[in-house]
Amino acid sequence: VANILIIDDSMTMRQMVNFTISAAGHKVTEAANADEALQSAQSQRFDLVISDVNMPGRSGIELVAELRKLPDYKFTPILLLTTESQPEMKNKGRAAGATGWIVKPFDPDALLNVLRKVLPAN
Amino acid sequence: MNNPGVIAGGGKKTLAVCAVAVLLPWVWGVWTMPWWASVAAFVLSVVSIVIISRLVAPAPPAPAVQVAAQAPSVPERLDFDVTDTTPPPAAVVSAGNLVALQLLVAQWLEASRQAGDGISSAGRELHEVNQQSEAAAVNIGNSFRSIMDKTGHQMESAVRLLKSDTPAEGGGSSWLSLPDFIKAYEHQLDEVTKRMMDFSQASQEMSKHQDVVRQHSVSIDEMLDELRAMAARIRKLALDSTVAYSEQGNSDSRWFIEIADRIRETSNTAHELTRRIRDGLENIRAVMGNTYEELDKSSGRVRLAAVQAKVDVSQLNITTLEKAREVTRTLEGVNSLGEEIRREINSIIVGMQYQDITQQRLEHIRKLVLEGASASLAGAYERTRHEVLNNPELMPVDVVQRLVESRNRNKDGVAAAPAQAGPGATQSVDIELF
Repeated sequence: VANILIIDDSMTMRQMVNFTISAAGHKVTEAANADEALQSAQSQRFDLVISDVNMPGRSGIELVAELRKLPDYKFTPILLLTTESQPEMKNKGRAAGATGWIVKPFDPDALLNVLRKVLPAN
Repeated sequence: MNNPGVIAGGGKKTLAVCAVAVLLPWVWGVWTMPWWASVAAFVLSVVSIVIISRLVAPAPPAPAVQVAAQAPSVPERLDFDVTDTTPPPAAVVSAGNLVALQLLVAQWLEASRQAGDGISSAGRELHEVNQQSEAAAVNIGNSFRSIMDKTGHQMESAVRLLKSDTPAEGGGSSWLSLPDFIKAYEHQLDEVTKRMMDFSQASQEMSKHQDVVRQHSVSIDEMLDELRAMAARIRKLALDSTVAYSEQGNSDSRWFIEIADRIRETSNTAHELTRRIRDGLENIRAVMGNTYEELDKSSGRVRLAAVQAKVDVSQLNITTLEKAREVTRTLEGVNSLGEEIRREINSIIVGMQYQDITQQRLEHIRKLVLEGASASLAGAYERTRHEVLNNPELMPVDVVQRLVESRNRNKDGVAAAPAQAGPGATQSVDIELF
């Protein structure tokens, strides 16, 4: 069971991701923006972070960069889940330190497969 | 707006006044001047009238511009105080103001064209979004309907396991439901238990018969002891008779009779004992026969019960195996339906995401296009209002009056800045003013 943080300004999208991941037995914490996410990330340790890109305030890419500055999240897998699919945006995400890029709408099975790949075996 | 016909009527009156004013000196001097001077003065008067008329008369109106209805003489430029709520004087339009008005109209046209293009683009995108939203809603509805159907099938399959209305393959008796199956096993168990109880009862009967046999055997033992004692007595009697016969000879016949009587008595006793032993043996044989018969009957019943139980249990086992296979098939079906339900739920998740993305796109379109168009119109409104406030002669009196009233209301804080207010507020002001 992994402890997973999901960040999206859309409540519907958060619920969909939460439903998919919770059904697989993982523990999920939700955040509506980057500030809430950083606050949660500093209060507890997450095994995986899934974030939207386009959000009010700091974007998901900026959030990834901020998380990578934290010692606990230097090697934590961080996935970006967004409707954006332009290569330059992906490059920005990769440069910020994101582990993966998933384009919305996501397929629940595909998302769980990605989780299995990026989560530590234990 | 202004009326060229009315303006033309006012010009004739002015021309008539000017003509009278110029021609009056000529009329006064025509009697005293030479004829050539009168003619020259008349020509000059006419020329003066023409010049005056050119100076007084308005320029030809632009095709789309109308001039104010009442156009008395007013200054071309009016310093308009927005705090003054008294209606301004009526205006006339100069050529320069017409150019400014045309520029404003052109700005309005450009703003309207841009807004129209944006709204058309928004309309196309909204149509596309609506199609996607409709498709997503239909997919979600279909998924829910499918889930409901499959859940119903699962319930039916589960309930079928508890009912015995499923006919057996190839006809014949129907497969037992789980409760019926349990009842059948219980019935067979009761049957076997009953047979075992019968067998136990038969064993108890046999035990009683063995007690009787034991009693008979004790009697026979006593009778055999009696026979042994009798044989000893006969042997002793024979020995005594031999001794007496050798001592006394054959002279005393009474003694011989006495011996013979005692032997006869002993013989009768032995005969009686033999008969009783035979009766005892007969009783034992009869009891043993009954015992064996009861035992045989009991064992037969138990054997029959066991055979029947074996047959029934075998049938139940066959039924159980078939039932197990049926349960396996049903559970496989339920599992398959569960997998389909999972896929349908995944489709619903994707559909919900489409709905969410659609909502975000609609919000994006609203911000980019509609607010852009609103801001463009609001800008044109602001520029027009600025021009009108600085050039009140551009507009009819009633429009200027409404503008002043609007400005006064704005000063009271009702709608301070249309460009900064919401789209609806700006639009309402635009609609109200223009």
